[in-house]
Amino acid sequence: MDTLTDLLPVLLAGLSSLILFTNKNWRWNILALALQYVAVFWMVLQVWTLGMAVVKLIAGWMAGAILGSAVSDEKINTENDNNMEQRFKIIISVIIWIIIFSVSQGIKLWLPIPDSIIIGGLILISIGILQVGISVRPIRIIFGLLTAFSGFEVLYAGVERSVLVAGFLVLITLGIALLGVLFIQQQEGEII
Amino acid sequence: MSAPIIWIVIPLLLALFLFFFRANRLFSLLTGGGVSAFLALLALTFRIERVFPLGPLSIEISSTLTVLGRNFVIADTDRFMLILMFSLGAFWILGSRISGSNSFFVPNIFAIIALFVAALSVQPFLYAALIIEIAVLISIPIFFQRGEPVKQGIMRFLVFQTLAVPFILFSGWGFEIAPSSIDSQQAYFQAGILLAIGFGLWLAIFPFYSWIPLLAGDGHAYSAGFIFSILPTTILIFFLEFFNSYNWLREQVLLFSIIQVLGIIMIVLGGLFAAFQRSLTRLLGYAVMVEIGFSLLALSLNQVIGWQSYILILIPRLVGIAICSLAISIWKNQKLNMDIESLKGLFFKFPFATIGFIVGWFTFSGLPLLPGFPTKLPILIGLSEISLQSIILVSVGLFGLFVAGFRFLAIIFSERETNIINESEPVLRKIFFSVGVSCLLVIGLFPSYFLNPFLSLLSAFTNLK
Repeated sequence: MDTLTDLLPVLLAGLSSLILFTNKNWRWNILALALQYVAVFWMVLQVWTLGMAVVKLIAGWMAGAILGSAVSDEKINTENDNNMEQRFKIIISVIIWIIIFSVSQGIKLWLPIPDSIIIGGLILISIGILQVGISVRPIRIIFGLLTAFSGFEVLYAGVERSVLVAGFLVLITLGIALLGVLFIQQQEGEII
Repeated sequence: MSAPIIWIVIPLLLALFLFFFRANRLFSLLTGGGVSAFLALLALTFRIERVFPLGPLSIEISSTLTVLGRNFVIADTDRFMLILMFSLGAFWILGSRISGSNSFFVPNIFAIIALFVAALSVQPFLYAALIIEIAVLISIPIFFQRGEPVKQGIMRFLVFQTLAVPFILFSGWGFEIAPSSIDSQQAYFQAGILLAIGFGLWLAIFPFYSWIPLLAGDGHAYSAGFIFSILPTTILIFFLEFFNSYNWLREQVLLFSIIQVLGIIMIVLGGLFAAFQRSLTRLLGYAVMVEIGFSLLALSLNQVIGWQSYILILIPRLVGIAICSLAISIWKNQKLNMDIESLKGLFFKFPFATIGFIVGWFTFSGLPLLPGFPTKLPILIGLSEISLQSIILVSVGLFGLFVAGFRFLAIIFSERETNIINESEPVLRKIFFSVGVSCLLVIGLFPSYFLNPFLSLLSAFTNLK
């Protein structure tokens, strides 16, 4: 990572995934998801054209909008954040960041893409998998899946530039978000 | 007109149409089942890229459809795959009438079948991973049950299938760059590890097997059965494409040894868990684990007999899973307690469903005269030439399935004073189970006559002969 512009999206990815991981407030989660896809767009821009990279941004924001539309006002602040839990999550995230920084050079030997993409992608994948692993509520798992999948999209953008693949990845991102909405509605008994 | 338009685009459009009319269950069922059966018949009768005279006209179905610079190719050698997929679709759609599955079932499984055909025909074949993931996402609503929240099994299925995609795509990329890499052996090795993890997550191979029994217990039984039959079938055929395309994979003795060990672990764990399992819904999940283990064993033989068994073992499994999951969903709909111990006298209330379940179960167990026996026997013979210990372990797994089957038999015939069959099963149900059981018995009695035509599936994989 030579310049600040390479470092900024990595920091943004780390921060937004941390907010998604630790915070249970819906508004903050949707905002963090939107920021996360700005980071994804920024990182992918290093290897893709603007036209292709912006597809990721739009798809991510659409996913956020889909999820945001499913939440009623009275549900927005129903979950309280537990301070102990948040501290634990922050510490474990920092440990993961350190591990990723230390192994990124080894991965670069196998994956010939810019450092910032490797680090940003791995941070998103790790935090996403962690969230999937320790969450019980379906919607938190959906946020984790979106985070992990966006990390994979960043890494895969470095090696694959197919338009068809980009289209399929958009469909998967939107599909996961739509499933999140279905899960919320099924919990409320509105689907079947 | 091209084959991908007929067998991918039209079914997808029809699935979309049926989605909007899903509230009219009978209409969507008859349309979906009818079109699926028609497409299977069409694949049986029409030859792709051959002129077909039709009165004064002549029709030729081309094999390729190009989308955004990538090709979807359905060659004439793929027709048996189409027949298998769409006849399976018709069977499952028509059976959904008596299973009590939700209104998403027909349109969604129609779309899933079309997507799986797309996955097996896309070139480069690695893109199949993305299409399979889209099919998995579409499959989730079919598990929903009235008044029940989303359960852990459904979530775990979604998570494992989604996490598999990156591993498969990166392994494919690794195999592509390995020949030009400085240390190509190392690059192949790393790609091989990613491939193993990806397929492990997809096929629920040890240690990623936990979603199978959970989904069998938490999701709607019939919907879970559909996924257990079609998802591994598609992925196992996709897996063959890797072995067909990358010579390096076929030359790795260590890889086949690892696949063999994993196959044995799956069979032993599945069999032992089944023997001690009390919940009937989860029992089906363990049978599926054993079946996946046998597919891995067939693959590990790395010989013609292994590749052939790999295909042949798929067919009776599909019918077995269909009738077993249908029986379970019928019992669940009747609000029966799914603990095996509480199913005393079940045969006298549901004789057709019970016989269907028993025949399906003993097909998984490999009982002689049922099709599980002639399809598993070549794998066991091939394995016995390699190692005696492996055969003993596999026998332990199969013994576990037999124990579960006989325990079920003992319970369903017990505690009935009069021993009079007091059934009130609908005619449609009787027909469905009679057809399923007859299929299994006939295939079991004349396996080469009914199963050998499916070996044509292998003709699409020119390097595996």
